[in-house]
Amino acid sequence: MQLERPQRQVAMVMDLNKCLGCQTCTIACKKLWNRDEGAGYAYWNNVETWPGEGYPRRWNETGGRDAAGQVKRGEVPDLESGYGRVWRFDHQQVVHSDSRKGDQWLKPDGDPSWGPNWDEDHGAGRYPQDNHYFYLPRICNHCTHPACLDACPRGAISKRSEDGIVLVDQDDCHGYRFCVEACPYKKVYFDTERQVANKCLFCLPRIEQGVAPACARQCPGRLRFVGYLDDAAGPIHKLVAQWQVALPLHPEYGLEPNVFYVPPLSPPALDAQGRPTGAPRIPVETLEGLFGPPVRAALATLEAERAKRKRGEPSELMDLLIAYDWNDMFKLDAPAGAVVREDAS
Amino acid sequence: MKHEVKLVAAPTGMQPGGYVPKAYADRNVALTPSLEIEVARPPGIWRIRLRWPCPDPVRDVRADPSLFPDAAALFSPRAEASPWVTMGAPGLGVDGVLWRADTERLIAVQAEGLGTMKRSEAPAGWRYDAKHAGGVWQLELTLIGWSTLDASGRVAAAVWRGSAQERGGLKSVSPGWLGLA
Repeated sequence: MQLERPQRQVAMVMDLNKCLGCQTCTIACKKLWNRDEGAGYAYWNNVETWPGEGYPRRWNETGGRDAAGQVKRGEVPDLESGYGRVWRFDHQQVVHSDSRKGDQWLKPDGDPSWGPNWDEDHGAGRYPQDNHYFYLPRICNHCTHPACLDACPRGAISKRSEDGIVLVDQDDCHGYRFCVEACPYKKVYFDTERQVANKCLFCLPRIEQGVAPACARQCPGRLRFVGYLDDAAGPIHKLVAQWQVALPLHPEYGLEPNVFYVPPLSPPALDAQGRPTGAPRIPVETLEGLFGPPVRAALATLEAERAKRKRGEPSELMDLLIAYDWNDMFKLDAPAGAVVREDAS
Repeated sequence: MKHEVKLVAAPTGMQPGGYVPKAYADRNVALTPSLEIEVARPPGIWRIRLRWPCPDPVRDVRADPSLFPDAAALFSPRAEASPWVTMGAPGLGVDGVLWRADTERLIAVQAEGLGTMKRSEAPAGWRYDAKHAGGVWQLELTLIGWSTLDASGRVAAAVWRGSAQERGGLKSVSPGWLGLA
């Protein structure tokens, strides 16, 4: 199915070299949008360790697109082994315990065997030669050709013409979850109490006021750039189109995601004697598996520009990525007459 | 009056959207093979008893996003020419009643084609009693004042097997309108 392209497309670039894995974005999003009882397990924004199993587990294998971009039957992850159930904690038991200090500790109910970030910081490789990991923050990609929209038999999912944001109309949703199945990024969720789908709305009310999404504004690592793809003066266009160092996740699915990633550089692996080999610790094949073959050129550009900066030469790209002025990371043209609240957080 | 209806798989190839027809192209066998419909007609009332095999009932779906409830529905045509297989068509609608194993009240439904179903609260005079025993669901519908069925005397039936993740267009259906009058 081919949709008419939106008039404009709002987009995000995340620089993976700067992500701390602190989950501030996750909490900012969860607190703002997604606190309903039936969606406790659902994180519209999550940050996962990569290489890793991801959230939900094996999301990159259970969606509705194959490596050639063709439709295949996806899965609706289950709570226990897919998403991970919500853990409950009995703070009172610990606070008011008569036990000796240290005998009682705060632990989740039941005996969980999986959950978001269960494999945090595990990564891959052998210590100390080439062990490695990085953090992969993920939100809905607000795809140009959304698999979720294509999958909904009720037409309850739409893509806005004015900014390309993909939305679920919960009044029309009957909870069939074909959208959950079909999304190869597993970024549509299901509210088990209200029995409707829900997903990231790119902080639509903020975008309409020219304010970047909460996950981006609250990011302490300053890794999220927000703007319109067609704004040649904005950071998104520069990173995606001009410098070509920001790449979509799994482009092979053919959905044209509108969240882009600056791939992580890494220190060299070591040989048996502990000497640097010159090969990056994060194998380029790992990054190719996420971002496709263009990642090699993107890494080369990043390394070349970094080297220029190290030599004291100017580099527009490095200055852009460092983001000396936080305000430069967000460039959203507010509709005429809108009040832009720069103090919004 | 009792009917034994052999059900067929609803054709997935005609479902709206680009996903279901391709992803479920192989789903062409009814997972619920048969349905027994028994009708009694006290004055002003449709009392319809449905029985169908279901070895693994799903009643509660609130605990997990991957769970789908068992469900059944009856539709009646608003017009003589209302098509059954597409749940009506524009201007040729169908009205129906939907039972879900996870809800206490029946749901009234209207549709004018695939993907158009609207749900609303069932009339106060509509109620049900459902039991699952011996691998069989037995659902007794008491429907007071269903004028569409009064006029048409015909229904089509649909059954969703929750354990097989049936929902929406993934269902077993009667092979056409059935006369109940």
